[in-house]
Amino acid sequence: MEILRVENLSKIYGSGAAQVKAVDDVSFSVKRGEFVAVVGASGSGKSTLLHMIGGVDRPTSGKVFIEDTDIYQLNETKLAIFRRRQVGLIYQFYNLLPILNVEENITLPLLLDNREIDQSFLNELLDTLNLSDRIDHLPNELSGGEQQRVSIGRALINRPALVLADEPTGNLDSKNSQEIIDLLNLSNKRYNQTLILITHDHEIALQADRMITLADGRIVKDEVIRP
Amino acid sequence: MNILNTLTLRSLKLNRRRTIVTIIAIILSGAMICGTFTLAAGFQDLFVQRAIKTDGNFHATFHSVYPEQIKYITENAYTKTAMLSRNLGFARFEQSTYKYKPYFYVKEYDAAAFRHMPIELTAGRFPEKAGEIVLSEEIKKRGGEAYQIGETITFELGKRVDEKGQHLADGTSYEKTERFVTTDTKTYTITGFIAKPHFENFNNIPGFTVVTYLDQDTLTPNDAVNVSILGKKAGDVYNKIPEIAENAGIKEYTYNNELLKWMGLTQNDYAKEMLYSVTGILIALIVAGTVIVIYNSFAISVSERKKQFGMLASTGATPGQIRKAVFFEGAFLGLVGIPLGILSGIGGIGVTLNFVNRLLSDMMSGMDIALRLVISPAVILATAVFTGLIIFLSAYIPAKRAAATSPIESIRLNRDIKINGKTVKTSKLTRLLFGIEGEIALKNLKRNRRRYRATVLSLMISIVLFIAFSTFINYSYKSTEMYYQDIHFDLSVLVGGISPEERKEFFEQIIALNGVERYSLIRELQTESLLARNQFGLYIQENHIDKNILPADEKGLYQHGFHITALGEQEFNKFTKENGLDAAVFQDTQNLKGILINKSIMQDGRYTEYEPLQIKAGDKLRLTDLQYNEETPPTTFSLEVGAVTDTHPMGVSAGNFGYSYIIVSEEVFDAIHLTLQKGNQSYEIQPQLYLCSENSTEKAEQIRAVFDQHYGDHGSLYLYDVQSEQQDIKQVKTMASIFLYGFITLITLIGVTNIFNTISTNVALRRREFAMLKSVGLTPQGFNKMINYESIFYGLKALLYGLPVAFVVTMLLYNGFVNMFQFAFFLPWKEMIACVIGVFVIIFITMLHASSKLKHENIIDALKEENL
Repeated sequence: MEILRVENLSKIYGSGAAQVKAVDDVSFSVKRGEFVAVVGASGSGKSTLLHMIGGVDRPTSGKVFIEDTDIYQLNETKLAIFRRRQVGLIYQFYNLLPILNVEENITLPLLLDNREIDQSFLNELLDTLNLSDRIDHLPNELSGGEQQRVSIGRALINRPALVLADEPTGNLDSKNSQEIIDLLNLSNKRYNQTLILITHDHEIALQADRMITLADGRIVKDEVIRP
Repeated sequence: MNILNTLTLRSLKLNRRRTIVTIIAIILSGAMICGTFTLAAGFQDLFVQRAIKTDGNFHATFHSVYPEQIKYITENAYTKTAMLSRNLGFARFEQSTYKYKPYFYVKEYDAAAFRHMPIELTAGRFPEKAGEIVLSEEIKKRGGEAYQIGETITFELGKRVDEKGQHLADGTSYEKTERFVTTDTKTYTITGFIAKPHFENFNNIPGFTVVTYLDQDTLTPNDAVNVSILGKKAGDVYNKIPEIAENAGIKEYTYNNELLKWMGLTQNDYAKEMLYSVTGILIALIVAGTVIVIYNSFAISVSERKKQFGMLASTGATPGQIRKAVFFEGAFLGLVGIPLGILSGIGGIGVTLNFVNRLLSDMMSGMDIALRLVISPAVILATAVFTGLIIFLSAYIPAKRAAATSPIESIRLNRDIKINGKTVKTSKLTRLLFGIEGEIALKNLKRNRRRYRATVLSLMISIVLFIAFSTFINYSYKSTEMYYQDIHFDLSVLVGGISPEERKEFFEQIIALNGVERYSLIRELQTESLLARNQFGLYIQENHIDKNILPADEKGLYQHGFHITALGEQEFNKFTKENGLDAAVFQDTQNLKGILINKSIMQDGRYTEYEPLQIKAGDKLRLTDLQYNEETPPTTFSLEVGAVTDTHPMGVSAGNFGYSYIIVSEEVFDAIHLTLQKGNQSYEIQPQLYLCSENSTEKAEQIRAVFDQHYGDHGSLYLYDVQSEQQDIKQVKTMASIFLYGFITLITLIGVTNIFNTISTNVALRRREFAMLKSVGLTPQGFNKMINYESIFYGLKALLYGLPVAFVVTMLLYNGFVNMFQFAFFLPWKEMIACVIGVFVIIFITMLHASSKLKHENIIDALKEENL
């Protein structure tokens, strides 16, 4: 079952001679529960594509459908609410709020929604992320790996349809990296979560179900690794 | 609490310095707005109090109201309080030692009128029923020593008539030929004494005030009374009074203009116009200053938190939620700052007023009034609403901007720097003068326009505020000086109520006093003439005749006044000598000659001296008497202009629009006086004595002593002591200084807060940038240099914009002042220089302070720093 469909998506910076096509007419779709790795050289448009899928950056043209909703037809408020409920974003540089503690950072999407916190799910998540003894800590009291695990927690707390990870291991050593990938893999399997992950680590990419390769803003290869 | 609000409170706590600065800005803003209005309300209250003391506490009076009409007024929905009064007329005061006041002037007040009319009890009580009376204390001093409380007094009431038996109006002054016709006899019991009512000083009623009780029930249908009322809403008075009068069939009504004026209900008053335009500009400046500080605080707060907002947005916070968070911050800061601001505004003014009252008590001597602290709920509410609005707007704009930015841009924090492909040009000169550090500094400013603009703008506003307020102080001082610059004498004496012989005797005694250096005895006759257009100077031709300000009569001639003035023999001789003239020529009473002063001063922003007339020595003028009455037709006589001069003798001021002075000898003056007196026996001239002496205050005391000793029982003395007047002005100046310097301190504080807030945040925001520069090898010295250059560029740019704007504001203030006082435009140079120096000092100190923290920082820490 299709959960994401990208149609002729483009993002163009500048105009005339100085024009840069960061993403150039990209179309593809992703099935529920799929784990997709996006690879490509630096500047190939991976992050821009991911941001547009996640609804945090607007495309120049083209459409993004998540569960059949054309997200760029939504107004700012609806888009924000959609993002809050359907998309989990993980960044290379964690992007945690420095003045909120671990628990607050993780539950932020729920708090923004004024929703009840499912305590048992939170505990389970904290357990999985190995953060149970860190819930009162502030981000600057955590190591890089721990911070990234918090941001994964934040991305998963809402059980979103789609988890987008932008080089989540780019800033981590190999031990921590593998841990993070294992976690993402686990959530992909355990919660049947759709996962799109950007990386330029081929080993990590090979753990995905499918690998999309970008070059100069275009898809140059789309291969199934594990059906 | 909602997560976003928790987040906001935490970041406020984390950025303690900026939070405090913002709260201080709000406090200052609230304090200044509240203080200004409270002060204005205090002064208004003072003048209202004074008006109540002098003119009474009522809005309007209906005259000649008959009993059947009274009810309509008293029961009218608009009437809050109604008071009845009536002038019963005169009664003989046989024992009066004051020649011009041989009567009692009997007034009747009802109970309400006793409470509201401008009379003040000094002993006993007010009358409570018919047949009781209070007397003016003045009566005791003028022959009525014997009257005591509890005694009865019998009045022969009646009316004054002139020699032909015509009734004389109450307001006409006493005439020797008048008679008194008794109409009624009444006996009253004295219940108390009142202070000499203020109105006795300003009318000619030849009687001392006594007030008895008016009992409305005893009025017969033909008894007319005056009904004064306090309306429910003073603002409606000009609509309601004519309406009531018309409905009740009353023809005549008057307003208590003095009171209504200070309640702010009349228009067309120069003093008020100046007050309004100047206060308007001041309030506008305060608002501008505080808006910038508060706005900046929020703008900075939002841009610091931009990344935070970006993260929130990417986790799904809606634009509305982000806006609300910013508003919550505003509400929180306002909730803390506004009440403190209002309290400190009121408190500050309270303390100041307390101090000012001590100074004021000397000036307002005799009147039991003081500047009170008026705590008006309206002012408090207005301040709260106003400051709240400033905060709201200050929060709204950056909040909107923050919410509209796409999350990823916010996270990258790259919106403020717009790189448009073009290289930022800096001149080779910069490189040459300031080196690479200077060039980086300048490029920095140019690239980062928004941030640069915010800082320059707040600096600019501070400069404008400082200069505008200094100018305001300078102009206020200049206005007070204006009063006294054209006075060549230091004491002037005018007497009333004594015979011409006594006056002559008195003036001789004054002249004989030790220390009188010079004197002139000015006598004046007002005449006029009809002149042709070409007899006027060009200035009047162009500005008055051509603009139809001075209209022509049916023969095409124009009216011009001539004041025939005698100076006293000694001064006249001096004056002719000074002008190189022979005094004897002007003493010929057969061939009347005078000296025309052909100089006037036009004050249209600067002093313009001009010659009002084109009349030469030898020209003859046909002059017509102005002081004629119905029985005696105007007398016309001829006078030759013997000489024309542009100097003024002592005691004669520069001519004004519409008239000129002609100085004549004593002999000529007497001859003209005699001509004009024919058929008009009561034609009397009040001479005025002008003195120059060593110590005018001491002289004034001596003169008063002489007067009281010989003529005090029946005459009155008007002394104008320029020196003591100037003393008073000095006190006013001290008072004004307290307010103005208090104000300027606050304004400067706002400015400094502003600069400090903007620059230090600016430096903090650029932590990474600085670290990067250092990482590529910028030395600490180079870093200092760069910071210094940036400071200089900030200062220069701010001054470049600020000084011209300050100049414009200064001009506006000047225009406000010339409504009232005329003086030439000038700029406060000293303050401007102080301001230029101050700006640089503040910038340098702030920059240094802000960057010192960064200097010793580990480069990698700062580079790695993700979250500010």
